[in-house]
Amino acid sequence: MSWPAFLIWLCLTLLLGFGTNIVNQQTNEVKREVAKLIEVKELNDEKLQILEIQWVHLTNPKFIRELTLENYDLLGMAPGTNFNYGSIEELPYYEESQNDENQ
Amino acid sequence: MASWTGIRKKYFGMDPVSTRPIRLKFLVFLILLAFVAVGIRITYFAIDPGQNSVSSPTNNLKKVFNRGDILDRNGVLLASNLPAYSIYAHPKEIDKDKVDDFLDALEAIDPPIHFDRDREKQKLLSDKNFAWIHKRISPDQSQKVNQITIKGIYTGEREVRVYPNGRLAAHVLGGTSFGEEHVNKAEIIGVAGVEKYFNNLLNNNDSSRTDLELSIDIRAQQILTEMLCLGIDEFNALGGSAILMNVHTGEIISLVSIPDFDPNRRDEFITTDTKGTDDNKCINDSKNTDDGKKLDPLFNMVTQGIYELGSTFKIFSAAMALDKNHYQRDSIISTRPIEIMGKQFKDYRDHHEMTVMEAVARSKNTAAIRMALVIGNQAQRKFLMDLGFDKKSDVQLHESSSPLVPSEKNWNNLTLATVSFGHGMSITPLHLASAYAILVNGGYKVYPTLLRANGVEQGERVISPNTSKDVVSLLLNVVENGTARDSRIEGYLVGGKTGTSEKVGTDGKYIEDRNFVIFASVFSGEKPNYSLVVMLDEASTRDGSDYERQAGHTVVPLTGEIIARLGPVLDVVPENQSPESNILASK
Repeated sequence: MSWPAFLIWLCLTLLLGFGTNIVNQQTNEVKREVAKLIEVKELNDEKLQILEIQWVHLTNPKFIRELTLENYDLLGMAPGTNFNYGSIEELPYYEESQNDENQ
Repeated sequence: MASWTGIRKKYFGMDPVSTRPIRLKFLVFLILLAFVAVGIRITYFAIDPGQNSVSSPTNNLKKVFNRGDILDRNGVLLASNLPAYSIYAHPKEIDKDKVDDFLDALEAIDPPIHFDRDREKQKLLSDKNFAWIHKRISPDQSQKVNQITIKGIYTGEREVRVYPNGRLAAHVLGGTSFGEEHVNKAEIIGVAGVEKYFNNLLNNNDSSRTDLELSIDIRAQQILTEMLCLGIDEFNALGGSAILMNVHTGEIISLVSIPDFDPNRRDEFITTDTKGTDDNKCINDSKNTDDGKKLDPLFNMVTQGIYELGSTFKIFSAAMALDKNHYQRDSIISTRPIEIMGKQFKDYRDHHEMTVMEAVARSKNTAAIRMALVIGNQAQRKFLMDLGFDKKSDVQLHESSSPLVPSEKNWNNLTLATVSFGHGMSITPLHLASAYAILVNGGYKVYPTLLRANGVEQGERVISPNTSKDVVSLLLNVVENGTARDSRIEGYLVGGKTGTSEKVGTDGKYIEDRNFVIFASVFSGEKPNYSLVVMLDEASTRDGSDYERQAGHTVVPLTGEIIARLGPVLDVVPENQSPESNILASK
């Protein structure tokens, strides 16, 4: 191998090595960033889980029922029964829309 | 000093000038080899980036919570996990003079940590290497424990199972306990209910966590629990149970057994005297069982309790006779006394003739016997076994009992007679709900399940569609004109059959005035979608100076109220309105 050819190969190899090193550093940086993000995600997941459990606990049907009973005088809320069913004809806008259609 | 060229020439006979092209080729080959190796490596990473990246952050991704959640059919959380801590000690390291100070500080923590001071003090004063002080404290409490400066006391992270709905669906969920425990990790294992049945699935060690979706509707569960509590209070009962099932899919929408327990602190209920720890308003403290004890809150009456379910069986006798075309709904049948193998059976009143429909509505034992007699004892046995009374139900609970069924050899005409009106054979309320589902769903076998079903899987046929239709009309007639009139509610057509089951004492004899009252119902209309079995333990209501203990006066009106509340939640549209024109008005 002639010297110029050898030098060219050497330069190319060094360039490749340098490029690989830069990519490696960038990769490590991204990895560190991902690790941080994962940590934050885990923390948020945990917080979310706690909030979800809290939400279910505070909105569980037994608790809601007890609240409606306690505040019945104020809110007048009672559980739905078969008497709460009505027909669409009972709604005031139904007649109006029927009249509009006829016109 | 010998040069490399000289050595080569001396030992290998190679001329440096003549070997130059070979060297060049060799160098080019090496460089190419290096490029190929790098290329292969890059390609390998591109195909499977995570496999060999040892320090990849994704490899360190820990699962926040290991055990899968349990959800109801609408995705509402029924069981989940929370971070918690344990307190442990290395007693050998502890300065014994500071033990009392530490325990004082531990007692002063708010919210309080419950522990047995004397027992923990003994542990800390010992020379052991390790001792648990408390296995479940909150992160907030853990922070406060860490602020107490004493050598040898530590806290460790772990996760705990929580049930945010408390007692609702306690018998379905069961509960958990700690398995293998380390200072920084504790395995959660199911000890009862679906937690136990699906323990391996929920503790799946694969990368993806598996959540469990149940057939339970927590809203229906609340209604059934609340109404059952009211019923227990109103009718001065010891306890009660109820099961609601979809008759086509076998899905259990709700399962309640009272007394119940709080799965968050199940361990506290594993004692013979639960009175001290139980804050359940449903439990009737003034009443005891015949042996003077309270009912066991961990006992699931729906799947574990086996009872002679009395007159609720008469519909099976009618269904058999109708299916084999021995009788029609309006066929005339005698209700006069009848003698079987030397034993006479008679009803309290109406000793004449009536239609099958009337006989079922008035709950006539003699008519049930006559309908069973035309079938024959072996055919009767086969029919009942086809309804699923031959074995434990398929429900996903270890807390299930097998029915008590007379053997084939002992199934004589006397057995036929007693079984025809629900005596001499014991099954669980779950078996009864499944059997009623089969009778009214067109005659197909259903397999009770606690998992949400994706559509209907038709089982084998047990009775014909026509018989099924007739059975529904017989059940509707019981409510319209028979023993269950008090369950009539506006809008919903309810069918059902009442039953009374006398309790058996330790001497094997029936106990007077101590019974279970049962109402097995189906709703709504001629094509019902739900079967509901409600049972009260020793219920009674005062009628003047007498106590009325029949189902018609206790569990029947209660069931009517339950269905009225359940209807809107289950989207059961009242009969007098077409589904298209209906809305749930916010009146």
